[in-house]
Amino acid sequence: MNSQNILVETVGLTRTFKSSRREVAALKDVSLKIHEGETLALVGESGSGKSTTAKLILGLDEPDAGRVVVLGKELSSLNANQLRKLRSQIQVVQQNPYSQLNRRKSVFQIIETPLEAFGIGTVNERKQIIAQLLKSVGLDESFSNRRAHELSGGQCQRIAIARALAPEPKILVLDEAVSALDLSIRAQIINLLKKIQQERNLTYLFITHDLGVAHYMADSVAVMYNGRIVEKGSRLEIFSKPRHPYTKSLLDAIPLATPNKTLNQDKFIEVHNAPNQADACAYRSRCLIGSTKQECASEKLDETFGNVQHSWFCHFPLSLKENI
Amino acid sequence: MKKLLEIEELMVSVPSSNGDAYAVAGISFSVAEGSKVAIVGESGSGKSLTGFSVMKLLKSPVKKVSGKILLNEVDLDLISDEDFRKYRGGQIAMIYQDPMSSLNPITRIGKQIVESILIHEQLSKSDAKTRAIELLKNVGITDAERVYNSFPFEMSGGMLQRAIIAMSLSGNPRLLIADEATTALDVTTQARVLALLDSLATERNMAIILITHDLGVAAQFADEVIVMYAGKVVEQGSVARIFSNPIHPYTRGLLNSRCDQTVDTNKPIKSISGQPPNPGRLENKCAFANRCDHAIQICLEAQPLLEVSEHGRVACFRSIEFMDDSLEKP
Amino acid sequence: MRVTKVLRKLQLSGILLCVIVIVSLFANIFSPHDPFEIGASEPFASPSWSHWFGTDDLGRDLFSRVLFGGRLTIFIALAATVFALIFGTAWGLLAGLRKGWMDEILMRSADAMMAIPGILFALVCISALGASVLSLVVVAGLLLSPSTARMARSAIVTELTADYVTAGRSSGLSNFKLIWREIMPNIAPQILVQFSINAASAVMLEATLSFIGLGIQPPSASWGTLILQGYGKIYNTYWFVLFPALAVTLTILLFNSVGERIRISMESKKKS
Repeated sequence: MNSQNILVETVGLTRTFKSSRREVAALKDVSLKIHEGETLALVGESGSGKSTTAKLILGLDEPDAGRVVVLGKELSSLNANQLRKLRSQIQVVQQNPYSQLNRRKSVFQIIETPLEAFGIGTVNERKQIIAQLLKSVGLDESFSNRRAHELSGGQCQRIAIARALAPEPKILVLDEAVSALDLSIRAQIINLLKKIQQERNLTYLFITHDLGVAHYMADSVAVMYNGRIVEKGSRLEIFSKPRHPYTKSLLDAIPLATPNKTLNQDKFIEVHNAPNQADACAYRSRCLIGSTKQECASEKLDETFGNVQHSWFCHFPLSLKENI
Repeated sequence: MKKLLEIEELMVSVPSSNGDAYAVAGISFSVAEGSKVAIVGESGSGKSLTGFSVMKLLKSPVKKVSGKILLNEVDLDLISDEDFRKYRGGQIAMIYQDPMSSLNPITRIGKQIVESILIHEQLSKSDAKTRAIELLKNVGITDAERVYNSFPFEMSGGMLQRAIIAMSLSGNPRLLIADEATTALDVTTQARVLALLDSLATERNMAIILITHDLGVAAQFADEVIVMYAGKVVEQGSVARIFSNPIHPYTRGLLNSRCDQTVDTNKPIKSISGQPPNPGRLENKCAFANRCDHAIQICLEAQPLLEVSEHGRVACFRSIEFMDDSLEKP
Repeated sequence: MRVTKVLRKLQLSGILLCVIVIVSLFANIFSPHDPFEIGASEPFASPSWSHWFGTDDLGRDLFSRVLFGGRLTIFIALAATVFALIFGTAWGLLAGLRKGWMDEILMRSADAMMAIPGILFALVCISALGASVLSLVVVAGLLLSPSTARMARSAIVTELTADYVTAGRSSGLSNFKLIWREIMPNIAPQILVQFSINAASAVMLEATLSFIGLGIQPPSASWGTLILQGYGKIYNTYWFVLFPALAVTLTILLFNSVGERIRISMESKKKS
């Protein structure tokens, strides 16, 4: 990661889902930047809006407000065909290894799909390309004739990665791509992803709920809660100097595989307080600090900057003294 | 400490295209009263089926082929199905990954807890309600009255899991089996639920077996860890020992594959090559041999037995060498 | 090897059904006598080795008449089913893809059509179009389309949320290719089940309409017409009505059975 080249940028993304009964604000005012060659980890728990963000960045959904700019092009300004062509540059690998592969197709046909759709190579050239792709994800050419349901989760995920690499994209969106894998397989796939990134100078948007994996993969991190970004910064800043209480609670909650018990055995009570105004902090109901402060219920949150590499949205951010 | 649960050479078979496959291929371990044990393994390790076996919940064509399960020295095979119904939810309770799978979606939570209380105790309805609300408070739900009157769909995953735990406590079990009970929860909720289970174990002198694939969860919760691979126990020991000094190559490999903040980001993760096997026939070799960096000839010719030492139990032909640290440590 | 594989998949009901359909559609090859030839044999003859199903009041061989009747009934049923398949599937796919008000209009009109009694609808249409093979095909096809549309819509709405469809869109597939190449193969079993069940209904519809005189007119005869001609004489010459009725019943049973088989094998695949 070196240049200032920003490959993906979102500005003020807002997306609300309306069902017959009520509106759910899936995203509110989400702004991100991803630089060429870097990995941005988008971290959050279920319902935080990370998958919605992914879909908007991939152009598979339209925001209600805000814009998405990929490789310098604003998605809303593109017509359907231009958008389709742009997709060759930004590909996705999803969480479930099996359901993201069409069970009626062979591995060869699965990887061929983007080549055909984007008009890459002649029929014969494609055979070569597919063989190379399989090799680069650690699979033998004999896998070409197999079907997804015959294979293991790890193998399916490798095929999904091969398919994503087929149109030679610059950006890869990894939406919980390792979360459904066994531990030993997860390590293999993480290694594979890092290797490919270095070999091809790829840019990653790495979506995960697992902070440990985020730490290993990321150059920078954005933490989401309830549809908003609560804190973002470089990996070092976020992990060593978290300023938002939510980030800190996430870090504290990670169970480490060490013999020292770090979980707080006394704090098992459920925290639950009343909701608050729209622009104010959605985390208030779970925040030990904010639940006692009136500002957190009513005042609009502004982005506060620590330095260029670190910013957060909080009325009472944790002071640096509290981080040990 | 008294042995609450004893399992001897348990074997469970599942149907496969090549005849019977052994998902649990002969495991033995014991759980003391009030202790906290984690069974750790990946897919295909047989850990969940072990839990189901103790609850006698195996459904044909999956069946227990051989082995003994003793609860308080009573052989569970000798108890009739009808009598065992008093055990289930009574002396032994089990909770699962998806709380909704144990709940009736159209009945209020309170009513379901009361139903479960009344199965095991003769109480008046109002006494049962009081008990139910108390149980809800015991599991850390401050708003117990409101939750009592709520429907499952109104509650978050964490709250539901707490309600399920409350339900499972209604029969005052001596053993609680939690099968990936925190896997579907957010990490902050998970921490709270684990802390809850911990305090319940101490408070009620209730043994808890936590079945999990997450090493961190096992490390933080348990006092003792059993590592399973391909239907067998490969290592067992205190949590302190296992996480600071793992002996079996699989345990070491698993610990090396973890990905958390302590891992060096500049180096690739030391992963185990290959993948966990599907349940198959019983073979006369070590099931881990084909993935093991340290396999020698005998590993392919015979099955290693669990050897007892002051470190616990390990099933590996080279365990002595590894204990002496003559080979690489994690 | 592929032949035995297909045969095993079809099972008895499938094989029987194929036999009936093929024999009926190629009645001119299989028929031993001319069904129109009046006075060729003794009239009112009961079933015998020379006339398997007996002869009718005009001395025509009933076996041949049932065969040729089958040709009409089955042709109409299959044509109507294919019509409903194409029309109904397009209807349902459009609704499922567009969503919003288009979806509402399309599906409510399907509901409305299903609420109209079939015979009444047929009566109105046939009095307008006249009774002929074509009008029967159109009427039956229209009656079967709404349920097909419902099936198609629910199938596509489910598939659209699937991960492989997201992957397909990300792979640059146009909407058309996405539906045709990715989704269709996955909903093919559902469509096949619907086809089978519709075919059963279509046979019933044709037989019913012809029975009440709205369908095939003499001298041509479909199974429905044969039943109409025979049911009055059921006490003396039971064979007039028995064989066509058996043919109708058996064919409907077989279509339903095959459809059920496919549905069960779909469900067991989903479980595994």
